[in-house]
Amino acid sequence: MNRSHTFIRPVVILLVLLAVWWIVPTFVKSFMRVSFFEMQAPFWTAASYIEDLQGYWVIRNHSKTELYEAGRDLARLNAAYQLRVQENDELKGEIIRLERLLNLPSHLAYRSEVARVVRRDLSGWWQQFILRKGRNYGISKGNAVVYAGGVVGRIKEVYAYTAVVELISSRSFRVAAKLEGDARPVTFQGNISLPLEGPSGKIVNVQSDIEVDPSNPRRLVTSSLGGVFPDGLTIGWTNRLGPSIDGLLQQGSVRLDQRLRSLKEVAVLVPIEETGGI
Amino acid sequence: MNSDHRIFLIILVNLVLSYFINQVNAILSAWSIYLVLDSFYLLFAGLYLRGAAGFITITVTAMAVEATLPFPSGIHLIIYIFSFLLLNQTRARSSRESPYQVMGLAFFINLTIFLFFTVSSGTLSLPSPALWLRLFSDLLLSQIVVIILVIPLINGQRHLLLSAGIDVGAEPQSI
Repeated sequence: MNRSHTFIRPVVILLVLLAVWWIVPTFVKSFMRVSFFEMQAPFWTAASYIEDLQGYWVIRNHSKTELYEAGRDLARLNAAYQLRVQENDELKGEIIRLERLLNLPSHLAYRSEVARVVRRDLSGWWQQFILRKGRNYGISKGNAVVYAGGVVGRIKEVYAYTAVVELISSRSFRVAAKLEGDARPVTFQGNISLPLEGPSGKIVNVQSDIEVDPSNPRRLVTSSLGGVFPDGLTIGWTNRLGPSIDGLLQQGSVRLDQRLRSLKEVAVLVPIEETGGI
Repeated sequence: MNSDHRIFLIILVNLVLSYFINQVNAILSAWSIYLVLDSFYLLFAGLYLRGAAGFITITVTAMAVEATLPFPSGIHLIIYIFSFLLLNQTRARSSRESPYQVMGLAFFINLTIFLFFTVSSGTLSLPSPALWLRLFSDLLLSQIVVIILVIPLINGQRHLLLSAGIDVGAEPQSI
């Protein structure tokens, strides 16, 4: 009798717990989840600041010659970007003039909110980052996240001081895209990355007349049709297309930038309408 | 000894362990490797703590770990408590002083947790050879790390409690 009690008791405890968890209202579960997240967030943020401090002291220990050379290279890069900014201002002015002439709706404008990455979770089940900024900087769910090489992902959850980003290499991520030089929309979705291989995705719903040269990969960029990302941001490169399951359209693999895995800083594109024109 | 509230140092150890495991995974992400080492949070509590102390330790750890991951709410709580109860049951049938038996328990618990996460994450709705290869490689590496590090980790936690004046090893093994 005692041995059967010893065996049955933990099963009963587990079943009682399952029943209690089933009955507990959803808002209680959400509240507890958010509470535990917010309790841990200050520690990740503090660790991130300590890493930044480490980086600062590493840079300070560089010789003056190294710093001078790095500064000189950056100055050249800045000069090139300043020229491009001037060209962009001209082009934006031209777009506004044409929108008025043709009575077209305006493109959405964005404010860039630069945020440090404090945590990375890149498993075979999901791929996400946690950023060091949240609602306190006007970030909201669904905002686009980008970096120098193109698209990072989309804000999935927002908390008081942190935000969770779903990466483009996550299997559940989908976005409207187009191949460079072709305005027709395709769909990009994230894909599993094999060990020791870089991040990847795939494109589907590609028109059958589109061709890609394996020796000259074609750039995949975002399409404004999705309503989240601005037009023309780099997603990745595709060098292989094949027939889809139904045979009507094509699908292919997309190679993403290796830097996606080791990003330390990203920019969240906050639509200016949401911030009241700030 | 188990009624001593300093036993909740183990909760703190689990949270610190969670941080370090995440840092290791962040480094390994550059090579598309992810280690699942959740059995590390459970072994000590399952083998040395009993009653409310062990239960509270496991519950708080599960909720803290789950808060940051996109799993359905309660998944970690269910599998952690199930594993804790399983470990409690094996106490009478195994020796926690035997490193091979402890490694075997850690291996089995970690494997169960990994399979449970795989099923509950929904990834099996879109199976592919790449998915199986990725999951298998992650599982293999995780199990290797579990076997190598479980004994030093448990000994470390025992010494930590010993330095706080709690000798959990002196208590009877059975519940």
